[in-house]
Amino acid sequence: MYYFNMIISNYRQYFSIPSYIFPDGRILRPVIPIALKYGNQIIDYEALIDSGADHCIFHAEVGELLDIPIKKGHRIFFHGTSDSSQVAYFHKVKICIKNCEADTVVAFSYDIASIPYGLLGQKGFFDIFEVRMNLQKEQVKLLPLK
Amino acid sequence: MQQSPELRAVLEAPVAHSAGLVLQGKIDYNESTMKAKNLSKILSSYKNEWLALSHNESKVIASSKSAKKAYLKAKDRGEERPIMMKAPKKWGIYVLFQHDH
Repeated sequence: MYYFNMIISNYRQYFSIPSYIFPDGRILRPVIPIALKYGNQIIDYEALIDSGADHCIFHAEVGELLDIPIKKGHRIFFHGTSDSSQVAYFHKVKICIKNCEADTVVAFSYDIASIPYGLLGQKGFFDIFEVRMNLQKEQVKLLPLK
Repeated sequence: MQQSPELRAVLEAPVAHSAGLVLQGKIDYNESTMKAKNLSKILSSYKNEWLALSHNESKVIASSKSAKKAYLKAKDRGEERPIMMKAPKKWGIYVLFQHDH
């Protein structure tokens, strides 16, 4: 089923050494191109749709490209699969996906250097879009909620 | 951006489509070509540096340890809207939680 204002993207394929779980070494992830706007600046960026993330988190270096004063934002601590604590700072930005643009609040962190893209989490992304991921079809469908 | 129930009903009405190609609305989509975009070949030689990809993600325009340098290099090379990403030291799986202190 397709809707007038639905945004459709495709998964991205990354490399991996063939393993028990991925015998063909083909790893597919729901990564989509997004744009972030702050003031007059706009930066295009890759971001993973991550329903397990409580909020969006992006590389602080991308925030710097937008001229955001990163460390002046509201500071929070977060952690991933390890217990080590990491720091991020919240800022208001506009998130743009294809023709859809929405105001949102996202965190920027200098501590996520080991991941290749930003993370689109529950707050700041899933509260803006209804998200349908279909690994079999290798497609992502987004329906703006507002 | 509040939408009335009537407007939302119109916006969410199914769009006519044929042979995978949507005929109206903003969607330009052909189901037969809609498979995962393979980034593995263009990324495989980069580790632990910032990459500025072409806007269609078909090639790496510039790379640098600095995001700003990669971005500006790509702009100098004529890519008006490079897509930024970070080539990691290695790929991993991440789940994030927030805590209160």
